[in-house]
Amino acid sequence: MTGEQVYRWMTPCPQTIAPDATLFDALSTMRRFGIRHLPVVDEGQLVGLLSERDIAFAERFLEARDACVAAVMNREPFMTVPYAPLAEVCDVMAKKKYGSAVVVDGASVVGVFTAIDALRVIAEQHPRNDSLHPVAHRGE
Amino acid sequence: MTTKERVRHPANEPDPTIGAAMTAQPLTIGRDQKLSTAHEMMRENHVRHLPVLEHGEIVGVLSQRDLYFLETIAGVDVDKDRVDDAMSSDCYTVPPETSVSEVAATMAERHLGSAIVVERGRVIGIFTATDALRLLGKRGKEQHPTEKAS
Repeated sequence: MTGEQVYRWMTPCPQTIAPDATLFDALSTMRRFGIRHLPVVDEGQLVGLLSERDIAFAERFLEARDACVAAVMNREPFMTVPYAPLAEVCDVMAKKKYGSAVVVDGASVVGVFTAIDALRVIAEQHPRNDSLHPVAHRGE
Repeated sequence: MTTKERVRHPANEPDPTIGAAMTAQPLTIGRDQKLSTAHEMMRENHVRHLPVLEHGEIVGVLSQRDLYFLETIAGVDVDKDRVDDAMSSDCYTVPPETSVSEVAATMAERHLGSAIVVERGRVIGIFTATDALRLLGKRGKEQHPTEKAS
């Protein structure tokens, strides 16, 4: 894992959503682009992070697809940069019990790294024959 | 294994069994317990997942995230509603000899937050996505033990 950096394992996420958008809009965007997290951006500023799971819970108990993104999003997402060492980011996330990190490059949101991505890192260090990820990651 | 593989291949990372990487003897809760009890156990013990048992056997898993959501958004009565109402019965169980990489692969594929380690029908441990983060953080420190000290 020497030299591994977050950008190699994050899920690229060029799509963002506004805080006053509806959960229905957010879910539609996630489905269209095959992503599970949407950074919430207001006037160019990152103001939150919304996950598909947040929406699933909202729907389960609220029947609230018309509710706005701001009501359900995580308002204080952990942020990191693309070239941050993977191990350090994982260490902080484990200690603070953060489930995800928004990866920002300057003012731009470029991706999201989640605990599920961390599981992928471990899995791909010892790929199975039926690995979902046939393209091997080579060491540095 | 060649020298090149040892140095360059990511499989150089150790692949312990889940029994070695899990949190052993996790707190558990009964499915008939109140949600308020579950929340208190999680808060006091700083854990986020509780295996749910019935007659000593695993029947589900309850996450703190589910509980917070129930309390803050749905406004349910945590003093009356029970674990059974909020748990996920689709929990992933594995024997202790399973490799961490295999468990991690399944958790990643199914987007699971935890795996419950079961031996002879009894829960003996839990491995969560946070444990995966901790493992990667620890490996980084082992590879760069003096970076922070210098």
